[in-house]
Amino acid sequence: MKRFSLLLLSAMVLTLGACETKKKEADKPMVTKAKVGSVDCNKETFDKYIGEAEAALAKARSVGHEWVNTAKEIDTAKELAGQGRFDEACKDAHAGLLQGVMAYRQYEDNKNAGPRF
Amino acid sequence: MKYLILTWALLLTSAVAFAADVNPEQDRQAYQKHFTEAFKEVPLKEFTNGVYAIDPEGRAQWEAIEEFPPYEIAIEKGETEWNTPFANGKTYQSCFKWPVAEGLRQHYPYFDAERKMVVTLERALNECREANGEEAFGWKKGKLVDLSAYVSFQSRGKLIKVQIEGADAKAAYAEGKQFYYAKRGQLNMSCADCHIYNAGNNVRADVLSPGLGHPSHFPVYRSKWDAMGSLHRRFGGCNNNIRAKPFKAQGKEYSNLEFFLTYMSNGLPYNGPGARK
Repeated sequence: MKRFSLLLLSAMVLTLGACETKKKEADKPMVTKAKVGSVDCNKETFDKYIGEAEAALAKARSVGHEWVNTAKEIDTAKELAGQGRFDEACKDAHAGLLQGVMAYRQYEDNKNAGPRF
Repeated sequence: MKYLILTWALLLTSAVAFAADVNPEQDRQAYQKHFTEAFKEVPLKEFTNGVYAIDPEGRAQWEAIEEFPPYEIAIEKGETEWNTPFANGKTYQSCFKWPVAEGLRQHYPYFDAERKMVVTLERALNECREANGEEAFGWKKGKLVDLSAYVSFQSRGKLIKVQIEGADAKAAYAEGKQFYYAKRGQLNMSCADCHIYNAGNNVRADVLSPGLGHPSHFPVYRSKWDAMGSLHRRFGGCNNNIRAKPFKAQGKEYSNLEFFLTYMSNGLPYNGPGARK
């Protein structure tokens, strides 16, 4: 019984500790999580950007926090890249990446959202 | 054995934390108290009139519109649809245990414990069609919303009385609540940011409506749409306004949100369908 009580106490401490860690993490500015890179672009860097942007979008979508323009940014980027306009394409891909990353961060920050009357 | 005890301890801690966290009645009382204190001059029942309970100029226009209600045609179309038998000879009434004349809306949304999901009035109407071999109507506007307008009209004056019983229902409620308070979209705003913390303030030329009473008057004829629309259509529009990708009407997200939001208005009367800007 004593051992069980000790374990229960430890579990509660661990749970509270995890909450505190989450709080500190949430205090960080959202943008520090985003990868901000160069927009000097060619096919190779575009492919990298667009891959990361699509992955970020998929991650945000998987938790129900997709922003309304992110998929459009990515589609436009692909269209521009298809026309060989890589500088513009990378800017849009980068915008898509940033939005995807920030949308996921928004999800993390709002997991326990509740009233503040 | 040690790990088994530890797992149990962790599960117990989580369960206790969840149960302590989900207290719909306490939430409802706090929610309603917030609005009745923020708008002391507004009687509780008046909140079913949305923004027109707190915006005298808008109310004058709305009252003028209500003299020739733009939703009347939808009610008539809905009544015709309700009374038209399916190909198998049955009618919508065969799917419901309550007579439509006594209103159906006050029985929705409810949590179906077997299916572990929230069932809205619109879902029940479409499921009735499918059960009788008919194709489902679109969720957000058109014939389903006409039907919903007719059925809602019969429920005018009946009190909202959503019930939340059991762990699964509480979980659905908790998800709806989290959705309501979570910031989303590129504008990083929650439903609560507009309809709790800034109710009564202006967004450009529009006064933000109080969240209390929101589900009472749907479906609505909205001048902006120049048509009728469901509550889930409005949810989608709000999400789009804050630059968040809207969810599917009648999906889990908006159904749970409706469940939470309607519970918050428990005790208020239904007064739909309504007319809004």
